[in-house]
Amino acid sequence: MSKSFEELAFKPLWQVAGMLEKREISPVEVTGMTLERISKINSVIGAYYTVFEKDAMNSARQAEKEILAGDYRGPMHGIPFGVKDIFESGPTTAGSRILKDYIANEDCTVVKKLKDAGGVLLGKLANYEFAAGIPTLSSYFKPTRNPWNLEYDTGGSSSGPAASVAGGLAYGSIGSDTGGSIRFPAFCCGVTGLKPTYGTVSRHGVFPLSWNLDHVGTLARNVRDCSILLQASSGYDPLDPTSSKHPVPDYCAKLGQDIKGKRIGVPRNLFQENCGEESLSSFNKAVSRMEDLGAVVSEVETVTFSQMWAIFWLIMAVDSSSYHIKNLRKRPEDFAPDLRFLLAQGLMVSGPAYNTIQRARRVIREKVLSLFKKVDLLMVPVSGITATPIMKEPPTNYNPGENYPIYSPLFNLSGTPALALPCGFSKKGLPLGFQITGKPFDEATVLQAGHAYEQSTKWHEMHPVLGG
Amino acid sequence: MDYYNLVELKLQEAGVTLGDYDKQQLAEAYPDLLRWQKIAESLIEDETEPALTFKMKSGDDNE
Repeated sequence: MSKSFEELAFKPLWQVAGMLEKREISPVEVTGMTLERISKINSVIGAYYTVFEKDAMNSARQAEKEILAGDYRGPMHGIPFGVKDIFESGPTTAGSRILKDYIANEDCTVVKKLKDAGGVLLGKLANYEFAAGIPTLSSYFKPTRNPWNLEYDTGGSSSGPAASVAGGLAYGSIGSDTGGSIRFPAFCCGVTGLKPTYGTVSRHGVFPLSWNLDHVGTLARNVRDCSILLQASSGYDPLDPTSSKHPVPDYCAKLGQDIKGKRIGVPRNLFQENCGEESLSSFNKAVSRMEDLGAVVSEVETVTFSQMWAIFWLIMAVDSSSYHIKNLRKRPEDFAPDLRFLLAQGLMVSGPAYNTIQRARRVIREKVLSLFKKVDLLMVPVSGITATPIMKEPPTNYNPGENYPIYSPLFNLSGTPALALPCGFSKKGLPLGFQITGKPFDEATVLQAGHAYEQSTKWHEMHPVLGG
Repeated sequence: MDYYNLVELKLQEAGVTLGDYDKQQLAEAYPDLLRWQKIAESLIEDETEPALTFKMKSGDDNE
């Protein structure tokens, strides 16, 4: 693949948008190049389950016509993007044998919105089964490979959305996040992932994992690109009963503003017990950088890892069990073993216990929200460990217990906006990252802080070298 | 009753049939499940209904 092709593939979405608006390049050229790259590289990393080559080129031609006619719709116009395969749009497998032949009758709301904004849908991106079951080499749908090291997993569950963006096979993607399913793969693949406030982006037409914790969000190679994708995706949807009527702000409004005087809280009690050395070291450097940029950093206290994990896991288990109960009765063997375990575990929880768990969730949410009386933002690592090697077979122990040091579920429980950003690499060359959260519906400040950090580093400009 | 039997009963109640290995896994994880439920209970210790009622009466909730 030529150098200019490679350069175009890894250009930020916002820069390509500028080139499209000025007619320096056409949507047909950008889409054609991306499809060619997919045809060469997707067989290696497996980011896409389905590629809509013909439809994408038709959309690109339409976008080209509109832009040439002076009808430019905005920064998504003519931009190729992908969507996780739990979002309804054409063939929608959810990464499960159960849905291997399912074809959606219509597009989910977020795909409709992005298409209305002029976006070019490239295809359906791989994911962990129903956003939970970890794929192995023996799975029906094979695991996506990490573009930074093909022997490693991408993290999940938005594996394809993260890998496609990291590998230059899309300028942005849409994922879902129940306990970190946008932020963890973003972390593992060295890209930027944004889980907005609960209810910001419609979940209509998205296969649920947990009604209480599911969020739809964006992945891209930098903060501004995530903001552009969110702008085009968000807004009230009467078809989603949990959709928020909160007005949609300008998510890019504060990008470029400094963070002098911003108060950042670091709740070390959440992660100090089980965060690995490399992740902690890169996180601490990111905290220092925020101080260098003028932020006022202080230690705060939140719930413990065990408290977070207990409530997160129990809600996810019961909610997903409730959703999948019919197939669990009829065809349990068609679920990945670890997913089947999760679903069955949800059946072990009684009604009164679930009520208690929901009340405990409210307590956790209030504890997080109370911190925003003292600080503007919170900073924590995404995970205590980096990406792990792809497994050949499912694990013999299905219960991860609290042995999985991931700190993202806290902000699913709080429903607050959370942004994951790259902040370095491990000794093995695998990406590391951290996350920032803020007050509900204050994505603009979270993005402002993330952007300030990002612009003071080069991590977001780095990309893996893939063949083709 | 041991956890394995409890798991079998609960699966039966839900109309779900799983293999022995799955049931063993669920039984082994049962203590975790109970411990997590205890954590949930401990988190709401200060949130009992009388306390909530008192809060409502004293207007604390409107702060």
